[in-house]
Parts: sequence; C-alpha cells; structure tokens
Amino acid sequence: MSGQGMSNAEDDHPIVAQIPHLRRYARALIGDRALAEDLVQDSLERAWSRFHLWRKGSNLRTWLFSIMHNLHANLARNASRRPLAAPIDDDFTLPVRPTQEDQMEVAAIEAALARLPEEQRQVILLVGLEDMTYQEAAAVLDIPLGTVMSRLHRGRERMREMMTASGGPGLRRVK
Amino acid sequence: MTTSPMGSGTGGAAPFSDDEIHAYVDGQLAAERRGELEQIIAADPEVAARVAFYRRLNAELHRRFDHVLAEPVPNEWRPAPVWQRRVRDRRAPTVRNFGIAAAWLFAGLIAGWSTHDLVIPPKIVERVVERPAPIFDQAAVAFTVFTPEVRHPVEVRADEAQHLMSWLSNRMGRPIKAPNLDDAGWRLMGGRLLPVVEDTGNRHVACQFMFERGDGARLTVYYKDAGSPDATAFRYAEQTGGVGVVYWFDDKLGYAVAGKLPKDQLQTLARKIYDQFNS
Repeated sequence: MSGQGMSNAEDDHPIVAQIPHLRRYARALIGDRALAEDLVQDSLERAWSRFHLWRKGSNLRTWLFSIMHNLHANLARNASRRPLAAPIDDDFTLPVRPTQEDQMEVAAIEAALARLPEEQRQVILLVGLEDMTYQEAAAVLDIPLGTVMSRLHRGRERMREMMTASGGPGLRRVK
Repeated sequence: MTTSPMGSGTGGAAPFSDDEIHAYVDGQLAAERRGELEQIIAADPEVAARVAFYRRLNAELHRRFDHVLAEPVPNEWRPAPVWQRRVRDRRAPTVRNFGIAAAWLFAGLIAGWSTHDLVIPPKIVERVVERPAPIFDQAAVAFTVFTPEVRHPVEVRADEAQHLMSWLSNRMGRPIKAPNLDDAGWRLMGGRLLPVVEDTGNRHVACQFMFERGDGARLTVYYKDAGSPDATAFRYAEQTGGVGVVYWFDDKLGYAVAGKLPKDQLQTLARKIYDQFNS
C-alpha cells in the first residue's frame, strides 16, 4: 500500500496518508456530506486511540477501512431503516439526460448508486473507486471472497440495468 | 485472481465466469488468462458491452468523487500530542458533546443535591461547570450517584467480565482491567463508562468499577485517562457526606478508590490495587 512511510513526524503518520481515501469512500457510500464527514471523524478518533492495536506490517488501509465499516454498520443498525442518501423507491425515475457520449450523467450515477443495496454499493466502491483487490475488500467487510464477487456482480449488473433500461440516449451507445 | 465459477450470465456454455470478467475489468485477472478473455470479448458483443459498462462505471466513480481527495484535511483529524489529543478531537460541536455535557451536569446536580446543603443550589451549578474537577471530586461524584442504585449500580455486570474489559478498553483507548479485591472481601459487581469534563474544557471518558462487601457496603474504583502527571504518591481527600477518596496517578492513568470507609482501609485497598498493576 502506498503512503505508509516510517517517519514519526505527525503529518507523515501513515494514518494521515489514508484520510483522503477514507473520506472519498465515505462520501460516495453515504451521499450526504455532513454524515460522511462525521463518520470519517469518528473513525479517525477510534483509529488514533487504537493504533497500538494495529499489527505492524499488516495492511493499515484495510484496518482503517474496516474500523469505518464497523462504525457505519453500528450507526446504520441504530438508525434502523432510515434511507441514507436517496429514497429507495423503484418507481423513482432516474434523471437521465442526453450527455456526452463518454460520460454518464453524474446525477444518474449517484441516483443509481443510492438505490443499490448498501452491501453491493460497498463492494463496487471499494473495488472500483478505492482500487482495492477483492481480497482487501473481503477483509474490510469481513466477508468471504465469494461473497465479494457475487455482490460485485449483482451490484454492477443492477446498475447497468438502471442506467441503460430507462433509455438514456447517452448510455445506450455503450459499445 | 482465481475464479470461483458462478455461471455465466450470458451464453450458457461460454468458457469463462462472471468473476473473470470483473477481474479483467479491475486489473485483477491473472496475466496468462487475459489474452483469452480478450478474445472472448472480441467475439461476444454482449460480453463486450458489459466490460465497457463496468469500465466506464469505475472511471465515472473516479470522475465524480476524486475531487474529495484534494480537500484539505481538518486539523482535528490529525494526530496531536497525546496530552492534548482529546481536546482537539472532541472540539467539533456535535450532539454527542452536548449529551456528555448534559450527562455530566445532571450527574453533578444529583450528586450536589444529595451531598450538599439544599439551600444553595446556584453554587452547585457553578461548582460543576466552572470549578476544576480533579479526580477525587469526579470519583466521589460517581460514587455518590451510583452506589445507592439498587437496580442499575453498574452498566455491565461482572458476569460479563470479558465484554466489560474489552468495551472499556476500547472506549478508554488503552487496556483496562478491573482490580481483583476478592481476598479483601470485596466482590466485583461490574463497571460503567462515565463522561468527564475537565476545567480545560477537555471532554473525555472515565470508567468506574463497583465492588460490594458481604455486609452490603460498596466501594468504587475510578480510572481516568490523564496525560499528566505521570506518577504520584497516594493522596487522600475526604468529601462531604463521609466519602473518602484515595487517589494516585500511574503510567498516565489516574486511579481513585472511593468509599465510606476509614482512611487506612482505603489506603490498604489502594496499595493492593497499585501492586496488582505493578507486579
């Protein structure tokens, strides 16, 4: 993993190098900026206070992401079934507009992401946005590799359906 | 990436798995298999469409969210020297902080109410909010609030000792263990987490273990994270209401033994606890 320098200077602390990644993932996962920032802050608080528990030489990045994942799972459990970012409503029409051929409509991708079951969104983001290996994603989410693969597949296929079936002209052109 | 075939989503007999298509897109397919996949993609428009979609999905995720990487990292998120870490980390105004403040104020009010002359309530508020709350005060307040409890003296009971210790260790950010006072006749009842507000405005957590003797008398041992002082001798403070506290600091943790007991008994127990953690 990059960014795990050995310096003890506080700004060079290996955790600091991971903060932007935690933040990007949280933003994409949750959608709501304020909630995502709170989650990152809480995760970092926990990470700093437990850094002595991190096994030196093990993957710091997956350690940090799994702290965040667990915190988020607890919050989500507490918040019961409150939707996180967008209404989970299958009649919801995706705001697909004609756009440049090589760009998906940003609003469409966010809406489609928000409509995915969270367990699929997590895998799609860890792999596709955070560029984690499937093994790393499995470690972060504490699930078997096969489950990572099936969630990835179902999630991506669901997004493909959502983003092509509604007939957005820009998306039909995929070759 | 080796594959665990899940069946192909397209042609039934196609010699590839869905896993391999994803692995190809994500750059996680074994090099020797890559060429074969490319041939399959070239031959099958449906597979090609899937690959193209997955690729663009990844690219769009980056296009949409990569700007977050460039946002300046708030100072509160960085490590601070240990003695000020909690001040900085906790400064952000969150609902939780209000909760902690309110809980502390509430605890203080109850404690003040039950231990002070009821005629002068304003002083109680002033005392809690503005006066420094050194460890013996904090421990005495917690003792006074929780030892009279019949149903909820502790938050986690001793029969879940392992959970109690790991929970408190997590919340305190360091390994926490209850002292064992069995042979002095004090049985561990359990423990709880407590909010702390320092005179510096520093808000953090403390914990308390409660013990009971055969005659029903109760005793508490209070731990509080303390950046300083590093280590001290035993000290004694007697609080109103007959609550005595023996306290000391060791390895940046503050300890306080509180009970309605004679000073020498408290001191003996304190010594016992100290020895348990320094043997």
